[in-house]
Amino acid sequence: MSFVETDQLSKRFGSFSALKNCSLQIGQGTIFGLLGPNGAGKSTLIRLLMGFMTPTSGRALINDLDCHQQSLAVRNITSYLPGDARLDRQYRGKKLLQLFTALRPDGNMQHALEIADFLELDISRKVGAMSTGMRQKLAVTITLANDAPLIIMDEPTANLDPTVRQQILGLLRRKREEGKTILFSSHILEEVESISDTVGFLRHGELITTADLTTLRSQHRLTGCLPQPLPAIPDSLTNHLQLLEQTGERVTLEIKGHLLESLEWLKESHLSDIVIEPTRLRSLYEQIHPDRRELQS
Amino acid sequence: MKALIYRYTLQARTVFLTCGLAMFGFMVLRVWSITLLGSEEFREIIKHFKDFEKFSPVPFSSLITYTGRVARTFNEPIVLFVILTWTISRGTDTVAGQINRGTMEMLLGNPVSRVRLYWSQFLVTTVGTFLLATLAWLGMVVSVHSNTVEEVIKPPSISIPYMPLEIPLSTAEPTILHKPMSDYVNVWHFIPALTVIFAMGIFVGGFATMISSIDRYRWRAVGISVGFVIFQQTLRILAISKPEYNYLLNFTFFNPFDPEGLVNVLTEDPEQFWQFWQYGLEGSLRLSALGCHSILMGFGILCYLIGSLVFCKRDLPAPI
Repeated sequence: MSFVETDQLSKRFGSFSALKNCSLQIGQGTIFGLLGPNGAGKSTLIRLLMGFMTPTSGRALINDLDCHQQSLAVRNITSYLPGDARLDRQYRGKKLLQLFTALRPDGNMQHALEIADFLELDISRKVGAMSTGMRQKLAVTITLANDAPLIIMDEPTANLDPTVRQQILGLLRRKREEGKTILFSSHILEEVESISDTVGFLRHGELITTADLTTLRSQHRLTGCLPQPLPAIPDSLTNHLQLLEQTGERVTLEIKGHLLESLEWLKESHLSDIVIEPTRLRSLYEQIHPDRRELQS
Repeated sequence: MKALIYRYTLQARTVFLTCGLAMFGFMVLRVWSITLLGSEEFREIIKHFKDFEKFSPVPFSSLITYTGRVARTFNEPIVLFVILTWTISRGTDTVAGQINRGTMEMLLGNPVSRVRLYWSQFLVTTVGTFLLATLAWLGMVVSVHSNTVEEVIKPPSISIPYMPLEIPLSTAEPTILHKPMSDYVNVWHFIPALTVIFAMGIFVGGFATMISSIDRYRWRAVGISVGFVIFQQTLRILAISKPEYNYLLNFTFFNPFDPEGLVNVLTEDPEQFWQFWQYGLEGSLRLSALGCHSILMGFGILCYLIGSLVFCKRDLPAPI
């Protein structure tokens, strides 16, 4: 059952298409990672889901509520962290937590204090005197200090050190265990890979593909040397084996499911210097964004 | 809504306290300064400026009374400046300010409707404006009740008709009496000054808020609002400078913003006070209390409504 659903969702700003015919489904109780370079349309998609903008065409639903027409009801069941979360600088951290928890019927100050403590955040400081990372931690605390069934976070780990990143990913995992649905965007493939159930790839405003990471984790990439062209893959293996690339003597193949059957055929194909590694999100990303191989964390 | 009002009150308190202190302090001092110059001396000074009477919203005959001079304090540039500072700063913060700071998105990520957010700001701005207007009045009340004025009782004299001569009938020195200012000034007569300042605040606040709803940069919303006020003042000056430009008074909010005129009509001709129009000198028609308040508040509320409609329909731009 889809908790979040978009149908041919598009947003244009004048002649510029920020999002084109985006259709996706996010299941309840799952973590959906949204990937794409800057300007791919991630924030536009998220902001359309939050009802901040009117879609040019198509529609978005959260728990069967129209994100634009029923924006208030949607935000009642959604907790949101903007990509560039800015907070009123004149307050102390604790005061700001109180102000934000008071805005939500499910806001929980005690929970907020626990999260702040877990993230080792000094909430007695004025926001204006906090570092960028501390402010981000405070914004994350505000976002997670409630019981909303959907959490949308636009680059939640931006500006944070690796330790805090891991702490936040841990908090998100815990939220999933509580049955919450999570949609988050990130540039960091490893963190998306480590916690997501499904990922979606956006490029130039288009949702190129979505991938189930459980399936992806059972895939492997094999590279090896072969002086002659690779023989035709037998019909019995076409569902498991796919030739990705053959350049000169170098061959790259993708193996889905169990390795054994494919390896026996490859052995007969006189492939040498074989290296097998699990297919990572990075390789999928590189297929979708061949021009952005250098975009790695 | 309570949480939002609390939030905006906290945000606004520093500006409010500063404005409030300035308003109260200025009115106390300004009314005190009236006592430094007796009515007779003031009459002597003002008769040299007879040519400028057309720039005065009330006849000079009213201006030389203590009531007229106290009423004048409500139309001082400082009073106007304080109210404009408050209303423009709060009004432009409503939408453009929060978008500009980037805090709007974080706020609207919560179950807060745009309508509630908008009208919460309206409430804080409006209550603040009313309190500032009240502080102006209270400053005047405190000063009137704590100051004394000199009354000079000249010895009896006779005037010779058609000659600028006055012959004293006694060689005694004039008697100077110190009387409480409150003997000459009824503070309740200045309630129309308070309410018209409030009404003007509603108008300027509404205009600034409307501009803020359209724009995403606060500095630009402030610039447009201040420019509008200057333009309106220019229209007023032009309108009263030459009779042929008199019609321009219909296009400036400084025409219905007339605290001196309203205090004057309440004291001189109370029957006309609650009418929309009043008949002035030489049968001219001018706005009375109902007209001044209705126009200022009506246009102010209209601006607020337009702003609300625009804000609820517009796309929320990403933080700058």
